[in-house]
Amino acid sequence: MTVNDQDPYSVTNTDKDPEETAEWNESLDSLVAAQGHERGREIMLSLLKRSKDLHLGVPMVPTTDYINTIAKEDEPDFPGDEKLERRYRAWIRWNAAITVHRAQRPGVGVGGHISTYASSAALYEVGHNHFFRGADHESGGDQIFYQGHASPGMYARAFLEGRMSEDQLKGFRQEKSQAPNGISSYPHPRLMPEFWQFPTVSMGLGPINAIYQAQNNKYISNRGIKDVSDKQVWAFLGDGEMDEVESRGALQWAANENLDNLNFVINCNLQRLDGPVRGNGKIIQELESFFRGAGWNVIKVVWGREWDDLLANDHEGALRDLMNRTPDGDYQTYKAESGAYVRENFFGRDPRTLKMVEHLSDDVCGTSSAVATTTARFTRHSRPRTSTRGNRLSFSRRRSRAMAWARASRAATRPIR
Amino acid sequence: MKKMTLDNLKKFRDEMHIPITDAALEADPYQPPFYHPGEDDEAIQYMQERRRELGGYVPERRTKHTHIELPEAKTYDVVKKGSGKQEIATTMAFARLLKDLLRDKSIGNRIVPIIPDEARTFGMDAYFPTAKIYNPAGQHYTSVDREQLLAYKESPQGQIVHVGINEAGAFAAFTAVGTSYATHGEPLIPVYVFYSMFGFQRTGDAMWAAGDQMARGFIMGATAGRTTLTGEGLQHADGHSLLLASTNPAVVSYDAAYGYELGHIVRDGIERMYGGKHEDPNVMYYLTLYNEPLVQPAEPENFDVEGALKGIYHLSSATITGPKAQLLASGVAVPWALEAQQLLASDWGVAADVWSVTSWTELRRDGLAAEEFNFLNPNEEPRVPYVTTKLAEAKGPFVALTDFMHAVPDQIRAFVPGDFATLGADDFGFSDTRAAARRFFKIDSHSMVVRTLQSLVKRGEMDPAVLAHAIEKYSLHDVNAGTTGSAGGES
Repeated sequence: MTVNDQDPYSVTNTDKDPEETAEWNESLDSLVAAQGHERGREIMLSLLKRSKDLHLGVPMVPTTDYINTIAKEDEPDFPGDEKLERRYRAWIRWNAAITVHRAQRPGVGVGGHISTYASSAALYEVGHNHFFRGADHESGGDQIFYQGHASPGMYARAFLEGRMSEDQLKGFRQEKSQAPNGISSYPHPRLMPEFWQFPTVSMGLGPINAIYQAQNNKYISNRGIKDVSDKQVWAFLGDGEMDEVESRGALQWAANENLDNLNFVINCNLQRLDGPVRGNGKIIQELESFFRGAGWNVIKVVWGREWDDLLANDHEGALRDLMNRTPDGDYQTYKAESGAYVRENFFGRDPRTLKMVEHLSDDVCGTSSAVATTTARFTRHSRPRTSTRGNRLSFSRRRSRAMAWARASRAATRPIR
Repeated sequence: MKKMTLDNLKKFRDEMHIPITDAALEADPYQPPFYHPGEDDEAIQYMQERRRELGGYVPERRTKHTHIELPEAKTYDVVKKGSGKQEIATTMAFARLLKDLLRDKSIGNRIVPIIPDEARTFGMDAYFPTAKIYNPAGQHYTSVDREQLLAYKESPQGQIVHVGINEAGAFAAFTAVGTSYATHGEPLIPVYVFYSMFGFQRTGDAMWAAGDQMARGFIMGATAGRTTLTGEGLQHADGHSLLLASTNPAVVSYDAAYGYELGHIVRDGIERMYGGKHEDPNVMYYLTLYNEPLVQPAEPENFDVEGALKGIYHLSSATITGPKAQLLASGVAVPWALEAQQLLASDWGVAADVWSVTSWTELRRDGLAAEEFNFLNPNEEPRVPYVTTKLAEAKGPFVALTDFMHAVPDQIRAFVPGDFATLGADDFGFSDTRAAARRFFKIDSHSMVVRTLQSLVKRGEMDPAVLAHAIEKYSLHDVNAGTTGSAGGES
């Protein structure tokens, strides 16, 4: 069951002649084996074009499988010192959580969010360590729309950087009573005019403002006022936020204006305050289809490296099929349940996949690296990887928490939708 | 996970490998210590080096920007001399002013007109051939209107940001342009022109966020008024954008009656937001524009510029002697008040003065500031609100009139030194002629006359019998008897 995997021209997907189909597949396999991916792609494009000439009505399938867009073998090595980066990422997470925790104490009780940053710390840190350029960079610096609820993480980092004091962390959400050390709940330039650039916490305004910020960068450059064409605009968003009309309503604008300086990073934790973002469906697949349809390049990062071996041994595509068919609501449940439950209810849906994990204990299924990626408690085991290929980021998937990296691109020059 | 128990804290500390002891956590579980290993730590050094390599810390907001010379006063002259015998709406007067500003050597190329369609309605197609419409791809088609003087011209160097029928996008563009002084160190002057109904009402949240982001620029609510956009009806008839604008602390709003008022307000706005001298430049100017054609008067001699910028100036004195009254009006309603002044004189012997109230909201904000000062500083010399001072010598009752809902002029009620009545259009609008709509809402000239007489009667300054007489004389209950306003205008 996948969203948007529809074929409007056929009622049934039954293969009338599986043997003949297998022969065609083998031909493609051997072509790719002999001449590589590029040639395989050329042949497929050519066949697709021919199918149009013959009016076969082959549906445009806007989604790809529920796996990472960038294959394991295409991922370069991590460019930094992963161990060091993980070390201080943990310190940031501690200080962010303590910032909120202290602000929650009796007598103060001003609230705050811990989990938004906790779930996106790896994303932000790879950005901070490798991608986001500051104002002294020769490009002039990037524009980053931080997800509003993740603000404690940015304060905690500024604290480690030595540009925010411990007293300021103690003044979180107590802007007047702890003045001059009070710091704001969310990104508010008016309240912290030397720190925050973009207010993002009215859901939906971040994405649309990021699009027009990217346009403005092009505009200023094109008109010769200042060359800021090398600046990149990054918007960090949540999957629930993507239901705001402003979040999606201007996507085509980005493509039409050829905004190749714009990056949306959508952290899909499948969860809104009240319930699942798409219980019966798959939000990552929906967004992939939606963004691609609007002319964006989409990079999905769904599974962590713990899944690499399982996927590599998935010769019949059984696991992939399972991943494609499992609705978000079930993934959420797996996240909360034991390893035995995951074995029975996820892998157990297909005898082939059940067999694939028979060498793993329930304990392993539930708590350690191999299968743990379906459960939230293993966040910390995730290991980000970056790929600079095509100037894009890729991360290993961190359990059910997944990111779709979408990048505006020239639709006309993208041969495959 | 919002709240952590002591056990949660310990477990989390272990997972994050934080060298803090159990004892330290147990000492005050509500206030666990933060952790910083010191700047010499290997990991911290690495982290700092990464940021140095990438050009400094993020997020960070800088505001150092290019200095721009502002235009001389004469650049604004086009609206000073009025429109002669020609009837033009304030929208057109503004379009002419903007045309001259676009030609200005110092700021012309920094003005960014933003239009979600309807440029032609507002007379802004005049800029199409010269300023051109921004399109990074240029124009790769044969334009259907290429033979026209004001053809649709697109260019990668185009100055006009035309976002199509798309107010959410238009305001996002406004925000980016209006914060360019900080984001790119290059001040740009966004001039966003739209149907006023689709501004604060439709994108109010984006305007709030722009205030947060400290955007600067001009928000032009064209086709303003509950009854002035004749014929368009309920969804288009704006009688409240000024009230909504008043809720945004970053918005300075004006309801100008004439082109010459606009000229001073725009100049003041540019100097405040871009001149580098004002203590609070992080504001947006919201100006209502109307589409009702009328002869734009020339700027009066000894024009009270300060009054107009602060929100009220004396426009016309009574030419007869008799019971005194004070007529306050704003925007398109100012000419109605002038007509009421004449009717009061000729029909009832009442000597009325007319005041143009350019900003009810700014007067209210000033009044509130004075009240607060007096509240908190009992030993200081009490401050008097500007409008109170301005009207201190004015005799007779005050009657206020706008093409907006009552609450707009009611903003200054507490600061008016005397009897105060307001006329307004509070209900949904509808489609009809201007004259009929204004009579329906009882905001036309004759309604103002009768309301003024009523105030005078209440004060014992006129015979109560005049009221029924006046209502009958003017057929006040008959919408077809209304005469206030002309036909025409672009919509």
